Amino acid sequence: MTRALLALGLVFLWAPVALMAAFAFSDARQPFVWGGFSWRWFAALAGNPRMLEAAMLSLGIAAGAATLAVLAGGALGWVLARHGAFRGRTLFGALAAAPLVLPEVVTGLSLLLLFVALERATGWPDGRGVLTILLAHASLGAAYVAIIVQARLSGLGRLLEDAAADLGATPAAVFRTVTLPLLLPSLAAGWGLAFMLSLDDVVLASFTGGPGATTLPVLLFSQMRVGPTPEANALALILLLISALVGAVALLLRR
Amino acid sequence: MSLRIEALHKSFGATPALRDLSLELPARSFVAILGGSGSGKSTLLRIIAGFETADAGRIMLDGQDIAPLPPRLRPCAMMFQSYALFPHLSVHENIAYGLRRAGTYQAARVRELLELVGLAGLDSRRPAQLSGGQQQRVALARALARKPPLLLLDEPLAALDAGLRAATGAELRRLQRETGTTFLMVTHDQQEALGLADLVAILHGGRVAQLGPPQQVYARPATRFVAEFLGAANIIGNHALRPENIRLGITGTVPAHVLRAGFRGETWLLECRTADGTALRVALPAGAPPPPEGSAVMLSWDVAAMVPLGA
Repeated sequence: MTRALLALGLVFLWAPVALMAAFAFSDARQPFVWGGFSWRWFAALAGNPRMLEAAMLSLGIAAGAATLAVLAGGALGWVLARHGAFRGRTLFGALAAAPLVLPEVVTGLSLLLLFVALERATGWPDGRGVLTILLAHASLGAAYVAIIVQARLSGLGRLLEDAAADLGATPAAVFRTVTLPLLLPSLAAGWGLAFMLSLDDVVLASFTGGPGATTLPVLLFSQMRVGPTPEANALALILLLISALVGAVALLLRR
Repeated sequence: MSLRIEALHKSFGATPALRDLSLELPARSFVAILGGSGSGKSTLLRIIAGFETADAGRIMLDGQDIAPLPPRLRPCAMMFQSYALFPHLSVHENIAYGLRRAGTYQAARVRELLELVGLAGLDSRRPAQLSGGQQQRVALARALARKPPLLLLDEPLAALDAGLRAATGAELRRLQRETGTTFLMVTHDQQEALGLADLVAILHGGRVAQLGPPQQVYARPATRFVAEFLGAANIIGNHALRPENIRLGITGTVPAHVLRAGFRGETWLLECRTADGTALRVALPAGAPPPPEGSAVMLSWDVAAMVPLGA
């Protein structure tokens, strides 16, 4: 009984993905007709400069946004966990975590308005494009990193930092030799999470992107209007594998 | 090295943890701070180490007040109850940590310390790969690495199995003698304090209730709290009388009957009631069976065994 329920739940979750993956290897032109096994759509993908360009752009934005998110979110999480007794701490804590539950449409729209207003007032950013998408993704990712870092630091407690100070370490040495090494797995996990969030985002990229900057998910989404092709399946499968890889590494590191 | 604590005061909110606590420790001694939970013993240790700041008072180490110094500049070292070993560093690097910060690292010194605590050859292990007893000894070696004149030990044996505790206690004692370091150990365990220390300070309500050699604080408790905290005690009016100082026999001066006999391993602890209704506990060697419950007995004791108590 429990096994049947488990199987049912897993089928519900994974059947669409499995179907999508299977049809990526179909020789037929329609992505829902099985035409025998073939690599042709992967080959077609390799010969499609628009797709490849969008893929490289997406990977670049994801890596940049994740790095920025780790720096900003790491600092935020550290302050929340280690300098916890200042005025308004609860409010700041809630503010840091809010982007996690905020509807993406709201986040996207507010970021767009901010970028437009900023450009009018200061001339920067010059139009919307790669940079604005990257900043939008970094801001969302930073919230996740802050939560992960704060949880890790609270879990560790101050004991080891006290011990290091007792053994003669300056505050900078405590951070470098104890806090940072113990935080590294969480930072790497946070990087992976922010990377994946950026890689599969359509909403924020649509709001904050410009004509010159079409990320892979946005391109895929726009192609759906013309009609899906098995080429998109193949691409989705590759994205899935990259996400799974980064996710698995992040999961391993957090343990 | 001598440590003199002068009128130390500390409150957490409205709750005082230490109340004008003063204490003087002779150099090269093994001192136990004994108290129950909430007695302020852990707070005292954390203030000496520098992790908490006192509201008032001075901590004089060799004539210098260390109270204004941050932990890293204090000449004392701390051994934490949960050991606080760095999980990402090897045993060797854990012990070397303080030496590296001071710029006096030598691999030979670390190996010497490992030998001192009987862990030679375990340099490259991670703390997680060690048993609890081995971790305890790494923590000890790490704290002793820079030859601190004063070592603070927070419940050093509490995390060990009962079987390991006695042997490790003796080991602490040996290391204290060998290194000439003053040991200040906090514990809630009377046996541990009485068995290991040269001097025992009993803390109660943020003050030192009594300071003295183990035999003295046990035999001549200054207050009712000390008398009852250090093992069983009968309180008769304003006096304390230890159960093992009461004789039981056919002849005696005080008639009583036995209510209950509790087995303590080495002794039987009899709960008796005298004719005038006073409850008395009497310790008997466990070799012979105790008198049956309800039987009449005669009790007697030397007047000298009655210890007058202060407030």
